[in-house]
Amino acid sequence: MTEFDHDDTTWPEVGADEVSPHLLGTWGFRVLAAALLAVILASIVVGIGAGAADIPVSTTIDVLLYRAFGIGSAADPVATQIIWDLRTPRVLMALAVGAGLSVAGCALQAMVRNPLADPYVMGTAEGATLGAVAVIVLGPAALGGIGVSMAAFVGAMASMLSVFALARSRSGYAPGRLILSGVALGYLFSAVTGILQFVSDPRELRGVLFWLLGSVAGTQWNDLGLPAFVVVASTAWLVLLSRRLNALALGEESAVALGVDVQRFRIQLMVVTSVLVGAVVAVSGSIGFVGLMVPHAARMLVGPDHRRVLPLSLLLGAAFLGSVDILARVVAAPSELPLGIFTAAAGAPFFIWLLRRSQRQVEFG
Amino acid sequence: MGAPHIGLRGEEIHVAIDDTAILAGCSFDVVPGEVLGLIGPNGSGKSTLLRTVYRAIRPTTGAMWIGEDDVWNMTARQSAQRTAVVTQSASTDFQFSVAEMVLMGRGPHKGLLDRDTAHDRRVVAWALRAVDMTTFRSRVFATLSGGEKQRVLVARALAQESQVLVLDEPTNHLDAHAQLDLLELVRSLGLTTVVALHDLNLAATYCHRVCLLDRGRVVGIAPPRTLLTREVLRDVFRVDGEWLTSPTTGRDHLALTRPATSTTTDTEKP
Ligand SMILES: Nc1ncnc2c1ncn2[C@@H]1O[C@H](COP(=O)(O)OP(=O)(O)OP(=O)(O)O)[C@@H](O)[C@H]1O
Ligand SMILES: [Mg+2]
Repeated sequence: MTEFDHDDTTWPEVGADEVSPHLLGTWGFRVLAAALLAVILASIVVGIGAGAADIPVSTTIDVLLYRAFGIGSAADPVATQIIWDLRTPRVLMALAVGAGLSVAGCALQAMVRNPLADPYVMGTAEGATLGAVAVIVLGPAALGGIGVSMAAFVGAMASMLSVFALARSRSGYAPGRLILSGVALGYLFSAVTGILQFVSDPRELRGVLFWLLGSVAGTQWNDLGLPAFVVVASTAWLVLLSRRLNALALGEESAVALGVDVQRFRIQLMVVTSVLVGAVVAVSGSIGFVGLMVPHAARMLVGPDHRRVLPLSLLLGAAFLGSVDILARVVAAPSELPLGIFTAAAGAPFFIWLLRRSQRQVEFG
Repeated sequence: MGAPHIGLRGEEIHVAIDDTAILAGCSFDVVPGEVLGLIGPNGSGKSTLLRTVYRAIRPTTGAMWIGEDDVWNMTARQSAQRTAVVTQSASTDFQFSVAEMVLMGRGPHKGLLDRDTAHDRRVVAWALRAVDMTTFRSRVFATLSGGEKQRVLVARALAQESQVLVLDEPTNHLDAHAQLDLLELVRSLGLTTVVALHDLNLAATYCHRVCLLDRGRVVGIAPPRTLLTREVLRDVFRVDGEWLTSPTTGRDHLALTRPATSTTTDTEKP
């Protein structure tokens, strides 16, 4: 064996980028993060300009600078109202929702040790949707007076707990069983949501339907606070615990061996993910596949280490849904399409590609 | 590794799963710096006993001591700072590199805000070299062969820089040379070690003492030559054994044969 002296600083170290020999190293990651921030800023400006009333970019920038930072002078009040009161909150909401779904996808994938998990595959979002629709259709009084966001959180948490309870076996939680339980429960929750729609007032139905396909239209400033805070806070928490997420992704036994209190950590993750999914679904409805695609793309770029995957997913998710929201308003202008249609159109083929790829790896690996 | 050695002691460890007793009062001790081999037939409870050491399974009754501390009164992290584990081969769908896997061994020593330091990367380099896997450092762990994976898991345990080392059949998947290499390494580390082994000759060569388990009970703890008598081999392992001394090395080797007429009920067809 080779002797190792702890104080010998001439012992060769494994280079930081040998530790992570993925497509992008340390610098690649930083450059990409900076580029994504730029894309997000651009999508805010472009996103505010897009829509029924055409607004020049310069006006947008003037209004944003004046209202947000007090720089420059007040522009014409109509433009200000459209830009600041109507469009800015919805554009920011699209960013928050995209980021939130992506980060939730990361957490779920590590938790069930399966890169194919996401809030929709796992039934978490369907649970949240059921909770939210129940409040919308039956009224808050029917559910003890709780609001839509709270109901969505309760639905998400209930779904998560049932998935884990269903998938439990003597030897712990097998990733395959977790996914299948999630899929099955997701269908069940969707069915109940369907019944609720059926019994709902036809005038409410159109609203519910549009919301079900995912939309951030009509977002007000005071809708934005809670989801934005939840997304930022839970991402920060997850990043702090990303070493534990890495260990958990290797399986329960390995995580224990690496000093993770698995039971406690899993409960914490369930609560945080449910809060995240609940907060996001309550304001945006069903936007599938983002939580699956974005973490996957992030891992292909920087490898599976959550210290990089989580921040990158946050940025990628925001940039992605921000762009989708622009597309949704431009494609069929002056009317706008639900976001879920676009994410499904991109996500379903991606999912199939992933399935085929992982199958090949199993067969030949 | 610099720090004073600590011993490991299990007291009357009982484990029952669904009312079935799997361990029925196992007591053992490992003196500081000793390599204790854990041997016994399939299903005798070796893995279960090891899992009570690294907190993967809580004993129904009984206590596990590392030095002066009760393992079950520590946090998971404190336990992982003292005890490193080589579990039976881990598989993962995530594309972690070999170096990333080994770096995870540094986790128990890291606070939430700590970053990887040059020291961490030196430890990783050392651990990889110790198991002869340096050239594999940038490979994806999931694509390695069984034996290569096993060595990486050993490197991860080394990177933990613990005082107690727990290994569950670490020679699984390893070729003859790698088996000897690995146990030689384990022995040379001078850590307080418990290692479950199936190969009685390897146990005899590399363990100071062996602890023999049979149906959830400790049959005995003693140096291999003393413990593994003809009677014990026949009663517990259902094999005939004979100690032979190599004329070249002077070492003792155990020659095993299947008993001609089995003493226990034999359900196999001839
Ligand atoms: N979670 C469990 N549920 C039920 N029975 C279990 C469980 N874990 C272990 N057992 C049983 O406990 C006994 C001891 O198992 P253990 O894995 O400790 O044996 P072992 O000595 O490591 O065997 P091997 O040499 O095959 O690795 C076996 O009969 C096994 O079937
Ligand atoms: Mg075993």
